[in-house]
Amino acid sequence: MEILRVENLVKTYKEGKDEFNAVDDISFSVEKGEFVAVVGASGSGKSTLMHMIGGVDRPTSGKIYIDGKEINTMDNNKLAIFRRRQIGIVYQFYNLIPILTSEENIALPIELDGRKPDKDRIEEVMERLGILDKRNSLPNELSGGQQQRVAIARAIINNPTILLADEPTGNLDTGAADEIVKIFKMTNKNYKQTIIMITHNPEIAKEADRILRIKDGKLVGEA
Amino acid sequence: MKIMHRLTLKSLRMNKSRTVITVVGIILSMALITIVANSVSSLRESLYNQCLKSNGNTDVYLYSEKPTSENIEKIKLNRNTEEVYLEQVIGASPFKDSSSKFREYIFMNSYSENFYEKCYDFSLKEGHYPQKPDEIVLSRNFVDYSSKKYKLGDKLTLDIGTFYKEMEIGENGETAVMPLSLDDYYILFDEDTKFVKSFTKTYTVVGILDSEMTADYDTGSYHVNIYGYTDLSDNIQTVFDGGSYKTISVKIHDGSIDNSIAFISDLTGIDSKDIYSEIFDFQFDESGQSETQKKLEECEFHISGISINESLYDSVAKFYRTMDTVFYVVVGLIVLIMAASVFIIKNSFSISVTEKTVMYGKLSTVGATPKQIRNSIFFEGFILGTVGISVGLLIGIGGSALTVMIANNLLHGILGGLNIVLSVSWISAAAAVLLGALTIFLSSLSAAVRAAKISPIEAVRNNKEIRIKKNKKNVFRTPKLVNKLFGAGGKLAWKNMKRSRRQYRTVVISIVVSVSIFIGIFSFVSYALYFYDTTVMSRNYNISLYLSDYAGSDKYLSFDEKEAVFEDIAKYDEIDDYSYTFNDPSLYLLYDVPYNKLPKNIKDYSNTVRLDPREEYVYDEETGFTLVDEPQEGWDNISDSATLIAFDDRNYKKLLKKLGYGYDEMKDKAILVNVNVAYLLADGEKDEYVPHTIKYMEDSVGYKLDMRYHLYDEKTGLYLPKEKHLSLEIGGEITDLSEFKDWIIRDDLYYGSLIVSKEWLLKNYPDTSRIESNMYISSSDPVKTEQSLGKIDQQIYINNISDEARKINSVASLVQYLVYGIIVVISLIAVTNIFNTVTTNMKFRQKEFAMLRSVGMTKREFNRMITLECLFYTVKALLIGVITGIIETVVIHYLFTNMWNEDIMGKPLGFIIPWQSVLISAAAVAVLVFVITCFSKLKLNKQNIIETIRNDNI
Repeated sequence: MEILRVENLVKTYKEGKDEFNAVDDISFSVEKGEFVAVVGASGSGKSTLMHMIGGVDRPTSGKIYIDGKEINTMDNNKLAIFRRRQIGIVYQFYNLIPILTSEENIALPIELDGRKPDKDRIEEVMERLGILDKRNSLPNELSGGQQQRVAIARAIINNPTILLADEPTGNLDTGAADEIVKIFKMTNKNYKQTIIMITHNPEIAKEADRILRIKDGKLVGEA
Repeated sequence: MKIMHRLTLKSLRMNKSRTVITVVGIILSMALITIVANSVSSLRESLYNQCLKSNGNTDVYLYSEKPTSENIEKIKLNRNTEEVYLEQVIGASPFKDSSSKFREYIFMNSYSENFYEKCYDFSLKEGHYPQKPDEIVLSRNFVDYSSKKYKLGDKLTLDIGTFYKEMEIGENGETAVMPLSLDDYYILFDEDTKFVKSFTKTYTVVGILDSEMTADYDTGSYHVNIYGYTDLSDNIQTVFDGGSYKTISVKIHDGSIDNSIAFISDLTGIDSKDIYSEIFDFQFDESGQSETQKKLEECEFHISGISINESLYDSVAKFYRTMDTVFYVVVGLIVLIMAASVFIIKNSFSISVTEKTVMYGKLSTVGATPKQIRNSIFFEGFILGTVGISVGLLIGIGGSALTVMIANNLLHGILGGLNIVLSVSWISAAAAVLLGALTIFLSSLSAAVRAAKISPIEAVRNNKEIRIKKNKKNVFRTPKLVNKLFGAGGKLAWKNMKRSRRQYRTVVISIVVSVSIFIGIFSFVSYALYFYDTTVMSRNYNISLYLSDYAGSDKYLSFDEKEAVFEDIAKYDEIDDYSYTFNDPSLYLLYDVPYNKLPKNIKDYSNTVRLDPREEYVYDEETGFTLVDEPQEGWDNISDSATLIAFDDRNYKKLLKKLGYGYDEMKDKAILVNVNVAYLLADGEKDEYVPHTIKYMEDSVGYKLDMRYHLYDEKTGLYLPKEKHLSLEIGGEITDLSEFKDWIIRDDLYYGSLIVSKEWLLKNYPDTSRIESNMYISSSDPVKTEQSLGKIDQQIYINNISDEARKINSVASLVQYLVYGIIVVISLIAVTNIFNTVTTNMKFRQKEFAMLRSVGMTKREFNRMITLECLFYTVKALLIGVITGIIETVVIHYLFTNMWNEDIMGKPLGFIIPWQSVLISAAAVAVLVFVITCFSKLKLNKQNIIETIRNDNI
């Protein structure tokens, strides 16, 4: 079942008279339960592509369908709601709220929806990711790897349609990086979570089912 | 509670210092506005209270010849009546035990019991108020001047009567002996009046007052007061019949002019318009009664006259009229404070939100809607606003109470014993709350809109801090001077200042606003005080006194005796300089000034403001005396009235010496004060008044004045010319008053004055015993002098100028300190604002600084960079502020120049350079910057470089 379809996506940046296409007419689709890796050199446009899929940035032209819904035409409010219910994003720099504890950070998408967080569910996720003992710690009390796991927990707490990860291991040492990838694989295998992960590390890319290569804003290959 | 609200509260809690600073800013603004507004309303209320004190708390006066108790009861029961007071004049009695030769009589007035308790603010020292016809209370002036000591229960037997005089009552010259009202004039001045006793009565003293009615307070009066009881019935023995001696005064609900008139109308059935007309329209036709008066008499209450307590309602309006300048200054201040508050609150808020931009961005990525983010900002505003406004209001009210307390202490015993009461102006409190709430709402709104506009990605990247201007070059050269003087650190500081203007805009504006306001107000006060000093305050004496020639018991002081009194006073040790003068104001001397002696420019105008056309009484057999005051054909002169003045020998001789005249040559002549005067003269052609500066008289020396006496004629009530002429030659003149600037006689050198020798005066005045004598003293210890003067057994009226000057000075000082206090608070607010901004800026750039350090900048260079940055923008701000302040000073100078009369003052108004305020502001800003820089350096140097760089959670 097709869960994501991208059609002729373009993102243009203007600088005076010069125009520059960060994403230059990309089209592809992802099936439910796939673990896709997006690789490319720095500045190739993969982050830009990711942000547009996640609804955090808007394309200049083109269409994005998630679970059959066209998201590029949604207004900011609808997009935000969509984002918190259907999409989980993990960033390279974690992006945790510094004044909230791990547990509070994880519960954030639920609370933003106005719903009461299910403590059991949170505990379950936290245990799955091995951070239950850090539930009351603030981000600056955690190591890089622990922070990233909190971020992942936050991203998956709502059982999102797609989990997007933008260089999730970029800030971690090898050991921690391996753990994170293991978590992704587990989530994908055991919970059929669709994952699209950006990485520039070919070793980590190999762990995915499918690799999309981006160069100069264009999709140049698949593996 | 919703997550966003929880987050907001948590963030406020964790950022305590930021939160506190913002709230303090709001509190200070609210408090300030409240204090200023309450000061004004308190002053107004106090003046109203004072009016109540002097006139009593009542509205309507009804005079009735024979008020019945039924009538009084009916008035009491009227639905608009709040209180009914009864007042009655009883009579006078010789004051046998008087300890002063001047206090010869006791005047007695009686009132209903409720009058003492409610209408007037008497202070009872002992006993109680009179409740029966034979009970009395003694006023303080009675006790002061009684040689016999009275205690409660003592009996006082009085021969009560009044003054009588033979007067014409008909048109055929019939006379009758008529009773006169109780007035010192009849005791003293009228030789034809006689005191006649009506009855003897013994009263019991039931109370002793610590005061008297304000109307009865008079240091120069010839009587003392006692007060009794009345119910306006026949049980009360009195000298007087007739309506104006019995008064029913009514306090109505919601006293006002309109309601008072409506009350009278309602009571009597007479139309309100007629009542209004009766009270306010002056009727010249005294023959017979008006229609309204007839109706009043005929109505059931038999009212012989009505009036209302207008001044009570006027007091508020009067307050604004007389305190015009102060009022406008205060309004201006409030507007200023409000503007500053709005600016500062907005900024604090903006900073608070900017700090959280990254957090909002993160929330957005997690799925917070723009609406949710906006609401959280509003929520923050709501929390901060509620706390800030309510606390600010409370502090403001407390501060107002404190201000009133301080004012009462400073103004104690001054301004006629005005006691300032605290009156909280709820309207201004509500207005202040509204303004505060509005400001916070608008600030939140603009911050919220801004925050929501930033796309989540931009927020996370946080690159909005540096504005890239479209058409400007990103590359520019740092001025060589900066490079040479300050090195690499300076270069960086300069670049930073140029590129991130926005960060420092607030700081610059705060400093500019504070400095320029400070200088502006300082200049305003300087000009106001200078103005006051030179035009009003400058007197060369601090005590003036008037010596009455009444020596008691129908005796009068002779000229020599008066002089002796003055000479004795002149001997006091502490007196530095003195002068005394003699003139007779009852004399009306006219002389003609021919046209050829008038300055050219006014000859053409027959109707000038200064010089009235010649006034002449023309006698006609049929019509009697008529006043002719329009220029007649054949007239070639205008007439002027003479002001003859003689100084004491010492000053006269000093004056002659200065002018270069000899005594013998001048003793029979006059010296004319012939100075330039600025006038508005009517320009017949242009049909307007045109300002001119003209001399009083041309070629005055040698001119002989032919002065005609005019004496008061009782029959006609006019000043009629008498046969006797007085000839006086002008022997010399004073043309430049600036030479007498420091002389003690300066105030008597009025244009048109004719200075004569004492010898001439004594020789030529018809009645030297009626000459008015005034003395002016410059004393180094005015209080001591005043005390000594009080001990002299003569009728001396003392005017302690220094006291008055002190009063005025106190008020001026009070206003000055209030204004400075306000400036200090505004500056405090500005300082908190600056502090806020600078610390936030430092915080934001922690990473940047850490990177600089990691790249290899030494601690010293780093410190230098920080110092220079602070220096650059504060110097810039200071310069702009000072220049703005000087511009304000120029504007103020222009405003005051309009009021300054160069001709009278003799010189133009000089520009007052505000160097003091500039120095003070510069110093204050320097200190502030120094403190901030040190603080910043301290905080930043403590950082661990690599942790800061790696820490993404800043």
